[in-house]
Amino acid sequence: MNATPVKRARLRIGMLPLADAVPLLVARDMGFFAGQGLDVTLSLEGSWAGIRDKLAAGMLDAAQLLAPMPLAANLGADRLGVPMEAAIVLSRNGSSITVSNELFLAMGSPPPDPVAAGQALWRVIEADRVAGRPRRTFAHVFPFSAHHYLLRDWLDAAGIEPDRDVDVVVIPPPLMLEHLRSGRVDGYCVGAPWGMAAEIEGVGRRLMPTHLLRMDCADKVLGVTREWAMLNAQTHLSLIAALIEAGRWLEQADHREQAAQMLVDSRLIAAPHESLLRALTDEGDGVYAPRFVFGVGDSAKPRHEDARWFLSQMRRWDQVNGPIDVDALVQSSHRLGLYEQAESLARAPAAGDVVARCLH
Amino acid sequence: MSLLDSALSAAGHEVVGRLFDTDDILRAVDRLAPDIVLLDVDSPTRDTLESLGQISRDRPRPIVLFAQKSDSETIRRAMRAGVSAYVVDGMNPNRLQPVIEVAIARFEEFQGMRRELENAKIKLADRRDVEKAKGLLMKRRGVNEDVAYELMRKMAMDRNIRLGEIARSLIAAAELL
Repeated sequence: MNATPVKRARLRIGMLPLADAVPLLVARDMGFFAGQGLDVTLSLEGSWAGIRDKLAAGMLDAAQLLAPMPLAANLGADRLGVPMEAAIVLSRNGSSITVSNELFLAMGSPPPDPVAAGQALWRVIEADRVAGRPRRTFAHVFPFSAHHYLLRDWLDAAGIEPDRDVDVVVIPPPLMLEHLRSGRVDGYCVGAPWGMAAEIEGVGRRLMPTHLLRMDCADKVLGVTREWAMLNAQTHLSLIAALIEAGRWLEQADHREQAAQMLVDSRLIAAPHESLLRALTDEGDGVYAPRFVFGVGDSAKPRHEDARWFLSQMRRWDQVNGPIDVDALVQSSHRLGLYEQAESLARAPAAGDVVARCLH
Repeated sequence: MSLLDSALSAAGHEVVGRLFDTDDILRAVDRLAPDIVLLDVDSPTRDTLESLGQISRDRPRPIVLFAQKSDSETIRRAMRAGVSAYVVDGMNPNRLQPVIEVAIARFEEFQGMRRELENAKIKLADRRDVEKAKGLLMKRRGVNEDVAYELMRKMAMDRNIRLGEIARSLIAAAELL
């Protein structure tokens, strides 16, 4: 009997031009999607709101999402309230806080330390206030993002009240550099390569990587709607399995260099090549390195502690109010059972490959 | 974009500014104080505009336009999902105008503005006059409905006044003759 050719599931997956979209590129270009019987088209999107809407409307099957987005969707805090879920973390760490050259100098060129940099910024803001100068503006990428919460958390810890002492605005990652260059913002918190890109272009200086504020915080997840997950259970598992394989591949010796070259070759990200090449490898970047984690141990498995922290920040900054059944919400947003099932479908790394990294 | 402009003007709206993604959206919104912002679904500035709406309820709410062709199932799903989006099918100006009117009406409904009632009345009056003037033109010039409408729209655009006003001046002129 002849084997009938297996029909591959065709999927459209959304992503933004950021270095940590790389697991998706790797899964496509290294054949992990195909190996799991998936025919994937990556769709470069312009904004997180656009990704959310297209996912909700079924124009995308799955998408790279900011880690707090499924929680916000299930709380109805994101305007739509279309239930979403995530079963795999695509990246941890990877963002930094960057300020303009002018502000960096005014702060006395502080060391990459959250407390020292926070005190330096407080002094500048206090001097600005006394002199009657306008408030400084800081940008992040989306209301429901680790970047937003990390930025506010750092400002608040330094005695700087967001919305009173500084303006906090949203700017999409690819437009951050232009806003810093033109002086429309004084600083921003954004994922790689947009922090280092500011240094390479000579328009700003990084203050610190955000893993100094919260180590190994989930940054991006792969999100789907609950409806899609129910209707495509098997395909969903295959998709998670392929991305588990891609995450593990990214942690093996020399693969980060290859992956960085894939980012450059894909021409998806309009950032200086050097910033892309250095975004994944951490080399020569010392304490400022993004320190991405893609697939070390069970790092790709969603963690309840991340969800709880995001929820506490949503409350703290008035994004949600009223009682929340936290356990039920986290369970319906983070599908740990699916991750475990998919893990058994994922192929082990090829023999001889050395796992070169360890979780911090 | 000029199609969008003329459709908006013809519907009696004033276009206060046209911006590119790289412009200073935040300050432009403060300076121009628009009621709504129309933008393409793929514009990166969507996140900036949406966050303005989150901070303060009286900031403009973005209305998103899907500028590509989409099948009706996709449109239906988008609407059902509550996406603040209205699909423009290939940017045909005749279809654009009702889409924008619906979008704006939905926006005002959402805001719960009292102003809406008055606006709707004016628009209804406009529509009635436009229908009447169209009938006059068809009879006088011996043209079909589409041509009559196109003639009025061109007049409105050339003189930079609203379609309703053109209709009323045509009716007034016909009554004089």
